[in-house]
Amino acid sequence: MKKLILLALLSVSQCGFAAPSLYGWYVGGSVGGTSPIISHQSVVRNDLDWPSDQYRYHDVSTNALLALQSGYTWSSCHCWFPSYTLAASYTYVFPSEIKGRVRQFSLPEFENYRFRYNVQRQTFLALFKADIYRWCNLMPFFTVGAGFSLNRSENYAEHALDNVTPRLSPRFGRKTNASASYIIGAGFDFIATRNVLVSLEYHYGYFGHAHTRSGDEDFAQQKLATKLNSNTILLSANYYIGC
Amino acid sequence: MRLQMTGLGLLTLFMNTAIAATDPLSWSVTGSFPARTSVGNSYLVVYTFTSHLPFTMPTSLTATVQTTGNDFTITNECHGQKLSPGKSCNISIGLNPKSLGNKTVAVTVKYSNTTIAPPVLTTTTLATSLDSNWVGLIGVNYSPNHYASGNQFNNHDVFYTGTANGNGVSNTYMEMSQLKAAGFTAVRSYQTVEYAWIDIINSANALGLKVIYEAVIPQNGSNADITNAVSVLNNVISAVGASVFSSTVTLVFAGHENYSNTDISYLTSAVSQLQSALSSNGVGSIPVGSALVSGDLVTPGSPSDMQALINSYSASAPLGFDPYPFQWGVMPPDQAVSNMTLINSIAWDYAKVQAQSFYVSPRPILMAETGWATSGTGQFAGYYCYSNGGCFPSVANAATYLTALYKYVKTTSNNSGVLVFEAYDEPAKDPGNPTDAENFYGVFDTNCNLKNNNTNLLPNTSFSTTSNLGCQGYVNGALFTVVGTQPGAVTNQPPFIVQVTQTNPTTNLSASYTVTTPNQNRTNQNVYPWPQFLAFNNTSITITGVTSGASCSTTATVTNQVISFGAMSCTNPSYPVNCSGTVCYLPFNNF
Repeated sequence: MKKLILLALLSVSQCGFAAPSLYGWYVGGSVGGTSPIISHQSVVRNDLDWPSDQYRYHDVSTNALLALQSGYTWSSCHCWFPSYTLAASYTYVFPSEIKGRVRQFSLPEFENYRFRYNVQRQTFLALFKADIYRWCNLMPFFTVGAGFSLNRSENYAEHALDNVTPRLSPRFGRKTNASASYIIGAGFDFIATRNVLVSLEYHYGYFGHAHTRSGDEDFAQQKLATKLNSNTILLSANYYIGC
Repeated sequence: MRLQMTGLGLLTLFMNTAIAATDPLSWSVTGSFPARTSVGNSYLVVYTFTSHLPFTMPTSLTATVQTTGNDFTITNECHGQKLSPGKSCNISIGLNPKSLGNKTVAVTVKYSNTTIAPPVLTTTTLATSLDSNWVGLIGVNYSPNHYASGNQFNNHDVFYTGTANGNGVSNTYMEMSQLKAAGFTAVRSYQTVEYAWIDIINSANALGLKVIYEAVIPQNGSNADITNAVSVLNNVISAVGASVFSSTVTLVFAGHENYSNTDISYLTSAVSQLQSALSSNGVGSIPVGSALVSGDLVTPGSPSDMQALINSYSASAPLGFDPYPFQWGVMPPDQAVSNMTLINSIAWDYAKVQAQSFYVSPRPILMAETGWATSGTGQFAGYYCYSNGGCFPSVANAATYLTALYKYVKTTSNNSGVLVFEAYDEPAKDPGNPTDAENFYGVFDTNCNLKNNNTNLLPNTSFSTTSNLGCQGYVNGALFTVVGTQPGAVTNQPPFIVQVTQTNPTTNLSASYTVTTPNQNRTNQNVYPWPQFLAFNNTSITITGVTSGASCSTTATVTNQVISFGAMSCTNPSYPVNCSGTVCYLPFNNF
């Protein structure tokens, strides 16, 4: 029994690794997919004393993303929390198509127009990642990040449902706005070679709001807005320089 | 609130199938502009916008109509409206092309922030050759028996009244002379016998006026009526001669306002038989048509009947109808003519007729009757206006209406002609109701006075009321006739001369005349009756036998239209003329 306790203590403090720990500066890239979570609706006010219109979001597409990051990793020989990383990342999310219907005057019987527009996001984050435990070359980790996103809304279009008269489109225009962002996630690192770390990561992110530009003429004071959250899966590969 | 999109999609699908989309402001359209339009046609499109909102619009509609070209008439009843639930408004767009080329109309209506735009209408106007015989024609409806009920003049349409160009002339000549001076170029008469037609046609021929002849084809009549009408027509042509008839009569109507949904075969037969009668008399080039109440063409109950009737018309006959905006209460009077977007206006009627399946462009449309009562009520004739917003009779309104009407007809692109109803008031139409508006459609009153001396009632606004007196003062006179008495006088009465020397007490102008009455076959008194003469008080009358050379003279007094003859003085006692009552009897012995 004493022998088992000793082995356990040894495993907490120091592991016998099949591969060396990765540390130092690295650069990496990621590919993945993100499933946006957007607001339920956007409210567009009408003329004085008229009820507002509801732009009810019904669908948003899951999209691919690309990310680059670079940072520095501190390593130890401990099994628990064997490494910590600070990094900066840039993420490009391919445009998501948001679809919905316009409910005029907030009345269900007047849900008359289909609309869609695209939201494209670029996010800059400072990341902290901590590997929690090392088992052979596999290390679960958690990560948090904070920064900002540039959210671009564009390509608004709409058309009338059957039996409904087309109207002049509001023509909400393209606009890019910056929003504070954060992520929180977890995953697994796998030491593939003495220089390469491969990671599989899930994170939940908040990326602020996406606004269209104001519409034309009668919609000059109005715009569509939605919060942007997402669930994201990333597959990353980091190359450590000088290991 | 945030929703995961994956779950919401199904929910939304369910909701979409449960609730049908509905326009808060729906629209519909009646009429259309065909891809190819033509000068001479009118086209009417009416957009109706209906609110399906559950509340009254908080702000007004902004409705606009943009067009290319100036050929459109637009009435926008939607702009500025706040429609309450279920209520509608109209935007009416009329097109009367005057220029060739492409034309477009774009309607937009904005409610709240929403602007809807029905599809843009486009058309191309092509050139058309219009029938100058009818386009621009301004004639008048003329009834010689236009006097008060009971007046003896109504019992005989034709009587000698004066002299023109050295010849004794009749009342119809004097009245049509007045109508010609007023600017009318054609007259339509109706419900009259052969001798009156003969006199009207001969007088019109002498005056250079045209005549629209109307055969008596009563509604729901029989073939006997047609036979009788053909007989009358034959007699008239025979009397005036084919040459005068064909140069004066430009159209024959197979009756008037006589369509019913049970007599179409009878009507087409009447048209056909009248055409045959004209042909057999050598005047087959004169077209035969008919005139209908406006609704028969504007809103036909049986388009197929109209198609059949029009098919029976001569190719060069216009469509004839009787539009009366006055009776519908359409106001203001000028808009009642020209505003195509105003329901029951003349222009609206034309557009509606031209939109019918039986209408083939560029057939002209003749208003066989239209006018505006200057007085009276619509109560007795059951006018729509009487119980729906009021009728608006007045001389001023009539003048405004007719001025607009003349302008409308003179606009070639309207492809129209008109016979104004009517020349003279006819108080005998409804003597039991003296205030019936039917009695007050004349531009002249019953005594040939231009109403209010308002020359805007006439096509010729330079009309001289002092130089064109028509029948003025006639009602101060009385009629007498001269009748042969010898055996067989209806066929063998030698010619005789009636010389009347007198002054019209109303006008203080000479009303003298000398008339030679030829030998005639007077077996049919409807064709050649014994002549009637107008005498004023203290008139001198001399009757001379052409064969005998003898003459008798007398004076007559007239009081309250009752004539009394004085003692007769004859040059030859063997040839006495005896006057008694209203008749002077010629000698029996070959006078």
